[in-house]
Amino acid sequence: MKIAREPGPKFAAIKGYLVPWGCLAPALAFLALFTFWPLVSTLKLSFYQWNMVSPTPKWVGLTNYLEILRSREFWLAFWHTLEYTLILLALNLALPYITAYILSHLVFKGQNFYRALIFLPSVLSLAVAAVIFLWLYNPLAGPVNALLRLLGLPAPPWLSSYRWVIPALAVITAWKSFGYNFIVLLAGLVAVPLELIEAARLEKASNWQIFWRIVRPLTSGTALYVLVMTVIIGSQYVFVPIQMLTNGGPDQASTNLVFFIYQYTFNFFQTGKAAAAAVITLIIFGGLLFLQKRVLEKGVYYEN
Amino acid sequence: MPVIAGDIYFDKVRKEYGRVTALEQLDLRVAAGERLVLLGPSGCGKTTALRLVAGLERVTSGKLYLNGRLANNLEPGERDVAMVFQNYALYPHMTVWENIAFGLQVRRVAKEEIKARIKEALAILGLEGLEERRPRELSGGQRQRVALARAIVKQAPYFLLDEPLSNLDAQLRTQARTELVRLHRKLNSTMIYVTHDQVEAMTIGQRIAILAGGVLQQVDTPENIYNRPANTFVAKFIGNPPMNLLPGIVKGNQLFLGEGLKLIIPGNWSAWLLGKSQNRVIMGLRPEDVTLREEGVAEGEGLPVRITWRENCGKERLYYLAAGDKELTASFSEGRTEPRGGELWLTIDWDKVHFFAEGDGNSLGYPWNTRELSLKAYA
Repeated sequence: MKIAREPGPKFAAIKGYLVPWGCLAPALAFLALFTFWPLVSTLKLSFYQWNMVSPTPKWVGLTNYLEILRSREFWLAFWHTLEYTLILLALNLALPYITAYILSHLVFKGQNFYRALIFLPSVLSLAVAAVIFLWLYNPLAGPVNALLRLLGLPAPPWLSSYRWVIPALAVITAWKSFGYNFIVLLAGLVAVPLELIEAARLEKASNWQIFWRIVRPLTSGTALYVLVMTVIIGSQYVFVPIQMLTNGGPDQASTNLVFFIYQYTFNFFQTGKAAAAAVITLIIFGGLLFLQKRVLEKGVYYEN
Repeated sequence: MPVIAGDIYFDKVRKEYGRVTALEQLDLRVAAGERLVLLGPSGCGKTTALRLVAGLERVTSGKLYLNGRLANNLEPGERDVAMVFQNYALYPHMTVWENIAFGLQVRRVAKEEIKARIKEALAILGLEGLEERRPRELSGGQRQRVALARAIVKQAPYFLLDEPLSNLDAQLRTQARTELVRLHRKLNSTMIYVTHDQVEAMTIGQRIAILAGGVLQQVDTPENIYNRPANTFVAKFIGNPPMNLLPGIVKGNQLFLGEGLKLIIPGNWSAWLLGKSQNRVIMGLRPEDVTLREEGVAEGEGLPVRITWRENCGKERLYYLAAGDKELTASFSEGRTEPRGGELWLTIDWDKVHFFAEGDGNSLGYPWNTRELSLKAYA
């Protein structure tokens, strides 16, 4: 006769760890492989000089950092990144927010039609969008300039103009991300009880006052999410049209930090400098997010 | 803080939502300073009527006048209407103070004035000390009072309430009823109060307007609604347990209610009913207006009944009765001896019966006039 053995207390303790870690393992493996390992490698690489070909990277200490921080190109890319971000905040946060408010609370006919129409560009790949806009922006044959000329307005060569290249590229990115942000914000907005808005309408509050004093605070959690995503994703998404359409030009007028890093790695093969720039970018964005959390979270209302 | 009230006049007002008719031709005048209750089952159009006054819905046809001014196309903000919503509609991200102040700030009332009005409202409603709380930190009763405070600081001539007590527990509700009436006496604005609860309607309303299926059934004082219901719907809707309605045929001075159920109609009623064009009627008997006897009565003096179920509700006892194929309810207050089972006789107080026409269910009136009725009621 066999006696079934009760697992001992030690085994139970191990088993208690085993299940949760076992469940986490697949995700952790991918995170480690594709996020943490590259992060650590980048950090390490930023102290070396290496052209991706030579067998032995050369230790250079902080030289890469000093050179990057002293270079005009890096700071140009930095300011451009800010410029892109500001434009994207206007086009991809403020604009979809207001559009979603109008479509959820002020327009009641054809809502589904507008929603579908606005979301449509999001399903396209950014590379395709870039090619479409290359044609739209064509200085001679493009419809944008044809229209401007028809209205008697100046028709600049969008992608080769110092002044217009950043807004032009930002618009491409914005056009693609607008729909997604719109849907996310719309979901937040329709959750605001209609009674609250009706109560405000009885007080003669204008649509703007209702938006600013009631709808906006009640949806600020969603808005903060979209804000963070716009800042982070926005600066990365812009890379696609830069890389495809202008290569940072004319004369670096359209570079941003992500493109700068890409260029130093894959065009100039100065991986050490690129890694240093990547680490600095990481610190800048980390600081930005910290500030956002500190300053903006205070004003955010969460339902629970 | 009494206000100058205005009157409200619905002139053939109709409201449709697509193909659904929520209100069919409503004709109703609410006097300035009056407390009118809109009462009816859910879906009867009472909330629609209220929202039409507030301007949250637009009239499909007909005219709505506020203080003699045509209001069909006035924006909600231009109607000077204070409203308490069913779920209070307090702004969850604002404190009690901010909630009450919001409307006044939007209207650019002077800061000192806002402060004074809020202080007064908080005192009236006993909300002092809760100014900095947010709605979710308040109890149901407190939230309801904040919603009232927000409405009264507006000092509007119209005060609309949409089932404001439905989210409170029974005990608080009784208390809040009294508070609401007191509050209205202080304000003196024109109050429209929507409810599906007949007790609220009877206790709060100076007049009650009963709606069913988008049609106004009766508008009258609570006493008249109870004692002289205009039709079988009102008769059944008001009163708990509801009025017994027995269809029958009048032949001379006899009323046939079914197999072996015959009543002799006394002279005044008999003359009255003979004057009517139809002899098919519905007799209405309130459960509290009948008597159960153990000893037999003469033929035509009462109905033979059997008790099928008894309920003891404490202050009253309910008996469910079978009379032939008819079912009836009788109720007696505590203190009366419990009737035995088996065959009993139900007798009627003919001063308290109601007759309705079969078909449209409208009241056939009473052989005495209203004045006599009220004298009887207070005798």
